Amino acid sequence: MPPVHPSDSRFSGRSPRLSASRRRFLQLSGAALSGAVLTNCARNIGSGSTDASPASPASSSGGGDNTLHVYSWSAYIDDDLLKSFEQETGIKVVADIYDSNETMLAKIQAGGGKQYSIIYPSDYMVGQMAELNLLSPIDKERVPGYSDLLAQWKSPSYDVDNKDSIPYAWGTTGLVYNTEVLTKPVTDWSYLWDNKKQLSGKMTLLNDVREVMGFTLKSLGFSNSSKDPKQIEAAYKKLAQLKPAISSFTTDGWRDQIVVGDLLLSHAYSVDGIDAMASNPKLQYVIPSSGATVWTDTIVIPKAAPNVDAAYKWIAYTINPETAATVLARLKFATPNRKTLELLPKELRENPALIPPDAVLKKCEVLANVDTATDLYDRYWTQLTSG
Amino acid sequence: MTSPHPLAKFRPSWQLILTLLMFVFMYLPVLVLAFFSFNASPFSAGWGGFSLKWYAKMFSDERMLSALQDSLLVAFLAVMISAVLGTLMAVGLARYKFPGKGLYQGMSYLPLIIPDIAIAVATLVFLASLAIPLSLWTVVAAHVVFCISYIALVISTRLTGLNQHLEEAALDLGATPQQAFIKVLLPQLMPAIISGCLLSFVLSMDDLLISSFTAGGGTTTLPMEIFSRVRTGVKPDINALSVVLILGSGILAFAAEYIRFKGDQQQLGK
Repeated sequence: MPPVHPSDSRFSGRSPRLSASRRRFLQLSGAALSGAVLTNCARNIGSGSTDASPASPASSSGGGDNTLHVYSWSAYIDDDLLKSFEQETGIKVVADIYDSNETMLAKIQAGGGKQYSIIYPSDYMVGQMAELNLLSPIDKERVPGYSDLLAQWKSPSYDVDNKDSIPYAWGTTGLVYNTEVLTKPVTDWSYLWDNKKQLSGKMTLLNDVREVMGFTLKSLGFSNSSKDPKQIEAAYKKLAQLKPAISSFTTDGWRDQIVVGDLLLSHAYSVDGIDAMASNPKLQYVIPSSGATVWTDTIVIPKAAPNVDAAYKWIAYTINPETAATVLARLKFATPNRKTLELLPKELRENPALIPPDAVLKKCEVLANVDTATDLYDRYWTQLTSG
Repeated sequence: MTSPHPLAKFRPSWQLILTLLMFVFMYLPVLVLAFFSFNASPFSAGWGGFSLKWYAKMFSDERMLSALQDSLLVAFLAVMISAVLGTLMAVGLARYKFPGKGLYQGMSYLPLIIPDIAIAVATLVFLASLAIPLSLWTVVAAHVVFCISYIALVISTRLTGLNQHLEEAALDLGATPQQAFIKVLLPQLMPAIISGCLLSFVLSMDDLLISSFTAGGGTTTLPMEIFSRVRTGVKPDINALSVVLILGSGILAFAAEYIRFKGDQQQLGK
């Protein structure tokens, strides 16, 4: 800091009475403001997130009858969709996007979600949000085509009877492999263990504890969300046998390598798998016959939604088979709606990688919350990946 | 540094090797990214020939461009507001004495060390508690919080090196305090103000967490759009966009450094 120089006295000494009263005013108003903020804080946050009452005085934003605020993944929103919805219903849509379920939940819980009437959480997040009492039940009668849902999504394990959510899109987690080198078709998870030698150093698994432990549990014939310590231990032991042959645990680092042939087999999400198939016809994505995990993105109406009528109109519009088919065909996601499925382009509809046969789909499972066993999963996972 | 022995010129010193290694470590990934933005194949493992299609795709992607526009708007507004407030704050802190100055000084630089996520959540809770609807302006306000600190910091380091007698001389010669400030102090501070602005502009463009917590009403900044797309697979059009952004930020940073350098030179010359 510069040394005190003469001009200092010029400023501070000019009018001591005025500056003293000004200081006093600032102190008082500062105290008053912070007091008001703190009391407001407690009230608004209390009503905003956990027991969001619809009559909350804070739900002032974006309320008007003609605006619908949507909080979504970037993928589900495109300008054409917003424009055609506005033309059809006269409701203006304002879309905000998030990059992970966790960001979305944090924002809602911090009180930043009061303007949204539509949110697109993934399966496990629906359960979590329902537990936190953030969702309002879906009135099925206001959802046209609800009865067209595939059997799998009539009552998914993450939200029994679709009480709070409407499934919108789904995909699976399976295997991508190089058919040129692995001439015998890969059909089940057991292939990894049976052909350990050939695959050694040429295979990757997802960097995700639940996906990897889940498929090993599946290959042992258990549920992928088992909470039984014995079953989890058995899965860990089985994985430990495979460990020396695994090149790495990576969620998207495998794509480039498998396309050029450096890898032979990768554990992958269906979206990425189908994408890889398109860029190298020698690659094949399969959903193993003993079942894979299936993820679902849903549409929900939060409890604090300011514009419920518009939200139902939005649901009706977006799950309308024609609209949904256009969006999902672009994204290469699968649809839980029978009529939408019929409208998908033939090469997608008849692609067993995207839509597995019913017999396989029946064995697929959503990753459910394992609450108490989470620590056990994490401990085995650490042992596996660090060992 | 340089040895008088002629042979030593050809033997690289360890400092040189270390410097080169650091540069490779820092800039090789950027070069690889730039290189693959011209790759016709969507996969970086194989070279599919030279192509500008990702650039074409990026420039025809309306959502991406509107996100870029939001980002630029937020950054411009936040920097403009912070430039005025930050300059006044730095000058005030350097010139005046008032009770609680030490505390204020410490607090004004806190945003530099508080993690983004804390600023983000705190700002959102604050906005929610006052029932202020989220919009572009709330993002701007949140960005002003950290931009002010950076700008004030840069300016206050410059202030310590200034010759204070110049301003006093102006006052002695009959200038009003306002005139002295605008005609004498401000021109001297200008290089620091500009480089502080450019620094905080780049930081504001870069911010993901604070924006995603405080954005609403359809405002989407570029980092938010990119991270939301990662889930459905990132295509090389993101590489192309990164190259454009790196070039843009690089030019900005270079301009900031150049202006600062010129300013220092001018000051030394006097």
